[in-house]
Amino acid sequence: MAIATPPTPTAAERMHLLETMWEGRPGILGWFTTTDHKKIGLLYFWTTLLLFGAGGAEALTMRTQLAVPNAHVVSPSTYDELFSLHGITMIFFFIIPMTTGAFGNYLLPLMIGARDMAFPRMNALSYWIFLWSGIFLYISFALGVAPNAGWFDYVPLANGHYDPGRNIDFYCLAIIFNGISSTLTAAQFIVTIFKSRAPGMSFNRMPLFCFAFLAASAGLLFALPLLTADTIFLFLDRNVGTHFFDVASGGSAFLWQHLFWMFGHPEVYILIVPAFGIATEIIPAFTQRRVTAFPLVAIAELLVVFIGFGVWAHHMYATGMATITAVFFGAATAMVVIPSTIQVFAWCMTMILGTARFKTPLLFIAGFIFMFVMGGLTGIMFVAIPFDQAVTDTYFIIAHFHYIIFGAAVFPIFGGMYYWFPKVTGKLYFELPGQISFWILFVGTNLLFFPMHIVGLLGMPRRQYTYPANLGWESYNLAETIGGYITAAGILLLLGNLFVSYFRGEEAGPDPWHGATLEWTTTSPPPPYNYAVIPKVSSAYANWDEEDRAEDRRKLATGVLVLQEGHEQVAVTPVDGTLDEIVEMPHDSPWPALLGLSLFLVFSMLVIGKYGVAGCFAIGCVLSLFGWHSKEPQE
Amino acid sequence: MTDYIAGGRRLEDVPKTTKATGVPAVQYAVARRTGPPAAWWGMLMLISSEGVLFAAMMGTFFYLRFNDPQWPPKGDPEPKFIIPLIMVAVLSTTSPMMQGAWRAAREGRLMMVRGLLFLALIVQSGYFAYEVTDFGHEIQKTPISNDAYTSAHYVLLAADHAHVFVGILFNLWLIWKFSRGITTYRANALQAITLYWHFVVLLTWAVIGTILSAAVG
Amino acid sequence: MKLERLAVLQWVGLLVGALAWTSVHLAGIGISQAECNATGAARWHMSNPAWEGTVLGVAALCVVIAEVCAVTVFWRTRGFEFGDGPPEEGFEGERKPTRIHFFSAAAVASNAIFFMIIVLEIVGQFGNIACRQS
Repeated sequence: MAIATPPTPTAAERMHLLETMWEGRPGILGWFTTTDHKKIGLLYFWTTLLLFGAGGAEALTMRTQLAVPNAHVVSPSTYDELFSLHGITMIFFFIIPMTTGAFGNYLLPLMIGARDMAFPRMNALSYWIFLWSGIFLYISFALGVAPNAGWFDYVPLANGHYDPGRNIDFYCLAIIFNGISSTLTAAQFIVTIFKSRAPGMSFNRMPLFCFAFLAASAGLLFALPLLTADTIFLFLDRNVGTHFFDVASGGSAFLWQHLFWMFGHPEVYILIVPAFGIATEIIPAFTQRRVTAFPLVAIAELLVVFIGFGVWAHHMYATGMATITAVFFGAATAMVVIPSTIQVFAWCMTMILGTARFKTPLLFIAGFIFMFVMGGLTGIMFVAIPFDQAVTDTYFIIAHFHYIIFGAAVFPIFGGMYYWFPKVTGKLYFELPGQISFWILFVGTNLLFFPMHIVGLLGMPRRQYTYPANLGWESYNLAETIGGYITAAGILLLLGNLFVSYFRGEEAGPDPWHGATLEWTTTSPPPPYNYAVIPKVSSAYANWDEEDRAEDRRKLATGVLVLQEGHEQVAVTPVDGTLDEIVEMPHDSPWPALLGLSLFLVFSMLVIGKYGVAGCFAIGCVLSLFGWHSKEPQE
Repeated sequence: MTDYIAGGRRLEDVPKTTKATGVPAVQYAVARRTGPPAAWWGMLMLISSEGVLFAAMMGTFFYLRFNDPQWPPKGDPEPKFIIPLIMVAVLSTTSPMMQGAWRAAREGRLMMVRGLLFLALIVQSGYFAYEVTDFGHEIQKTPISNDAYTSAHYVLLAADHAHVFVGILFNLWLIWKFSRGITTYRANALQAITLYWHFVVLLTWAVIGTILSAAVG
Repeated sequence: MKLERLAVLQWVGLLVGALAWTSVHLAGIGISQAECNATGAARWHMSNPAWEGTVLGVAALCVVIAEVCAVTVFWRTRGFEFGDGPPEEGFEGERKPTRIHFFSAAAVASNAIFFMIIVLEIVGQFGNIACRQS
């Protein structure tokens, strides 16, 4: 049972004292200077929703252009910008920040029994960098120089000779800029998981959601630098006259592809593994059963990212590399499906063996499993190199990755929105519109993406702004466009339901689902300090351990592990969660927002070629960092 | 109830490390801690990320090399051997200096901390000043825009020098902070920045090794 | 077997297989590039079956050793639950092997997967005509 009301008057005093110590500044200034992971998570949530809208609008415009043959809704060059921006936005500015920035930031400290992340100010910095990088990217769209060589931006199309405008410079710098945010987030999550867990939460007692975010964070940390190197080389080739990708001067166009996909394949696992984590928390809550084969699911989440680092050249089977090199990638690609399969079996077995209540969150997870398996089946077909070469750059590929990304990443995100809505807002959503939104989305996305398999096998290439009539593609494209609009309607219903529920929903209480993890032991929404007493943890399903929760209420009454002498948090040893020290956390700070703005100015000057001015703003960044570290947490 | 045991450890044994200021308190707090602090882990994350960045750059150097029958290409000078090796050996001396400074901080010897940090700063700055000057001379004689070899060569070197520069900034901050006394926050920072310098030294050896490999085979 | 020794074997089981596969995967890609790349072929004269066979064989052996360690630890800690054992709180200095049991179970699965990947890579070396364009 949650500590929603204090058990004794002394406990009430303690909670009040914690409230005054941890609450942030009020008003707008509070949002600009916050270091509270919950507020940062909400900032991420709203910003990514806005960018999701932009990416969705780009998609709908493309679908409208392709609804009928020889349409002229947009020009070819605008179409190039649309498909490029759509891919960049959805991957870098929606899925990653929504899963890691919004869900991860809000929930991770709660799930491990912490009061905040390990580095709260750096957490705020991640958000401000993300926001400014999104603004930076869309300034390019406003100026008519949006990236236009696809989200993976192959050379030589993207080099200075064939794409002489600022489009690709915006691409390179936006990717690097955004990558800083994601790298900081990844480092944050790993250190928080290692050091900030509740005492006694050894790795075998950590929720599977946290394993998923550990895997995704490790993936981000090791994959992003590869993309950073690639985009630095491209920027230098375009602006400084280097020859990394210039074949005539000893460079290699394949170098771009190798480095890109060394990042790009782990990236796709980074997109879906946090969503696996969301699914792995929703299923126990709505089946009231522990996940089958817990250690296998935990290692599968880590393995899928780890092995995923070794399969990159399966995106390059059509480039003519030696077969003997392709063997290594084929072998690893064939086996990387096994960890995902382990998870699918575990989820299905948990639902079969438990008492499944198909409320809206579980419906979305069921839809996710269906679509992920569909996408996985087409994915495994690409292991066969001849088949892969036949369908490379056709709509079959688009069908595959949209089933995976929309099915395996976006559906769990929607399910997670419903599942944690009561915790974040304190209100219950309306169930019937929720279920209707699921079915509209399920029908819409299948109508949108399934025909792409067929039209791809019929030969329709990707990234074509129109197509001639009488090739047999028309009805499929029209069906896809209708599916796109149905999907949009489903999303609007979902968001509308949550919006109305926020104002008119019933009070949720701390634990409407009898969920398994620690966040359900505190109030809805959680107080600024998360937990009045650092929780006792004996298993990965802490909310189901009644004795431990009773112990927490006794500890609150006596003051043990209440940590009320300051802005205090525990630090533990990484593997076994042995209590190691009690640390003081920093308070709200304006420096992250200021540093984010300074970095934006640096990148803005770089994109217009004013390197000296960029250097001056970089000095400003360094001074911001000195200012940031001038005041220590205990001062 | 300080005899309460949480997560396998008695509460009264657990130090409140951030509150510790001054030599004896910091010594006590750091000694009671069993593992490295969050700052050290954060630095480990940073150097992991930077390590992969450099692995990509060094991998690029070798990838381009194996695509090119002649390396360095005709017209590009062979890399120098003696002076770069001497310089990286000089830079390597900062590693034991930083490690010594961290050890002195743990033992509460503040003057030794300041002295070793200052000495390390002199060596690092001298190394950096020489390398930047040499880089400038080299790039004037053989521009970066010659070919893929010069592109990879100079970008790799420039990235390494940039990391040395960042380390110098870290040291300047440490010297400023330790001039005002010791807190656990500063000790944690010193531990983390020492790790950073070990990484930079190893990295510089790897970068120089990559550059010099062009003269072999 | 003492807990400390079991803990060491647990880490061997968890990490050695992963490191072995990573090394052989990267080495294999590098060796194949060295053999088939125009510059490499002229300079290095690598014999693919000999090099790859040796490297992959050693890696397979490492993964088998790791698996043996993992299975040993799993078997010797089989009486313990993965996470629901008596709480470590309240038992100062006493360590329960639940974490070790958990990681050994994970390692048993992961080493099996790494072994299968290496087997497929070995098969690919023998069934393949080196340097043919794919």
